[in-house]
Amino acid sequence: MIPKGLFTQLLLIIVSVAIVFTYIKPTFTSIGETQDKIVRYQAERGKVQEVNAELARQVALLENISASDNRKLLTYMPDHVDEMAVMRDLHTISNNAGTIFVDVTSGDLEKPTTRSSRQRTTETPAEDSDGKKLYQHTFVLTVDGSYNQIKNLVSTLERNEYPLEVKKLDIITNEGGFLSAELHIVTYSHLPPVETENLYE
Amino acid sequence: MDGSSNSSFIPKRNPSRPQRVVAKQVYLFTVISYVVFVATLVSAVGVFFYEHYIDKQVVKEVEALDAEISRFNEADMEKVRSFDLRLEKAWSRLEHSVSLATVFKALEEATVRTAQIKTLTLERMGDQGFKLTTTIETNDFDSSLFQREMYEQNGTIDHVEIVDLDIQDTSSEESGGSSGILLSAVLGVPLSAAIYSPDAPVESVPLTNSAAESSETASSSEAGTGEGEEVGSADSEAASDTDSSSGAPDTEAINETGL
Repeated sequence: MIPKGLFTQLLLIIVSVAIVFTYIKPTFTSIGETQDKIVRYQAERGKVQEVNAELARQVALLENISASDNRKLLTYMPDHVDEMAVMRDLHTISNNAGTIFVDVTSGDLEKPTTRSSRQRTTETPAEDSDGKKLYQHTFVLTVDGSYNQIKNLVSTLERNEYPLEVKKLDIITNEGGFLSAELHIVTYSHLPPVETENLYE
Repeated sequence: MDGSSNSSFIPKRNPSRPQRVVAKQVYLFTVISYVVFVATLVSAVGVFFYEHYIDKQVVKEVEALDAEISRFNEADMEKVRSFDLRLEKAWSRLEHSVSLATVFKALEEATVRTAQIKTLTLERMGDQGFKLTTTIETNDFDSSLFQREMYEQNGTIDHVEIVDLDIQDTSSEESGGSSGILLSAVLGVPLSAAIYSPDAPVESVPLTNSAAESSETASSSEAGTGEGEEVGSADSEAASDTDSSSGAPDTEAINETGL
């Protein structure tokens, strides 16, 4: 006959083992996973906090820039280019340089001219050597003048408040000893031009 | 008196039975089993409460992360990104700003007296450099060779290629029977040799009074304008900075007959 005491003790051991393997051990595993999750969430929160702090710092830097510097930057790299204003500027610059203004055309406007100045299509995004997309606008300026006046014109163009890059310069000798120069000038905008082809469609 | 020993009045106690001591035995196995069971119960309860606590921690962390994410302002980010992009574009163009006056100066310094530039095409090849295609007229082969050598020795011009050579017979013209050489040359000037410097001295041609009084532009700055001096003619040789050493270009000759 098995003593009652021994039976009870064995039962207690068995029940303890069952509790350990069916409840305590799986729960420990689950707790471990939850703790890993907590660590990950903490790490992610740290990263988000860093990003927020950096963004706040950049916004503060941006707001500290003076209005005049902002204006100069917007002049140098505007959102959009006003072709008529640029053509007016080119006309003025060529007169100020001493050359005789003949013609200026833009890649956007088709204007009948008496000279054979070529028109170029523009507004295709270009990439500068650093890989950033720049929207360029091309103008063709035709002037007459002496060599020094044309040199003066080119020198004035490169000191403008916004870029007027001479992409191509053709100089030929005219009758009477004058020179005729055709300049392909490019300026840039930050944003692409507004599409008007599908306006109101 | 034999019964004297049995007749003591002191009653005799019954001899006590030896007591049997029964020791209670505690088995080790019993102790262990009870300890194990109690420990298991305590562990189960502890694990239950700890799990509950950890779950609350997770919820708190998630809420904190959500709060931090919601603090992020998309509009601010876009503003900063747009400004940064604009600034980078402006900087990239500033870095590659060039001075064509430097190119002209190099051309002037390298063009010999006996050569005349008839046509000049200057083309900017991206941000790498300039390609100059020029037609030059010289008196003879010696001048042509000397001209080529001058271009090759010039520090600003890094590529010289004579693509065509045409001997012109000008015997019927004013030159009195001599022949001229027409060279077509392609010159290369790297961008690094012509980088614009705002501190560089400005060479400008004095303007006529009418040009100085012409309409101002809102965007043209630092131009050499408004000096109010008269210019004699379009062939003025003002603002020439060429040296008078041998082999230096004769700008007067160039201006009168060519460029």
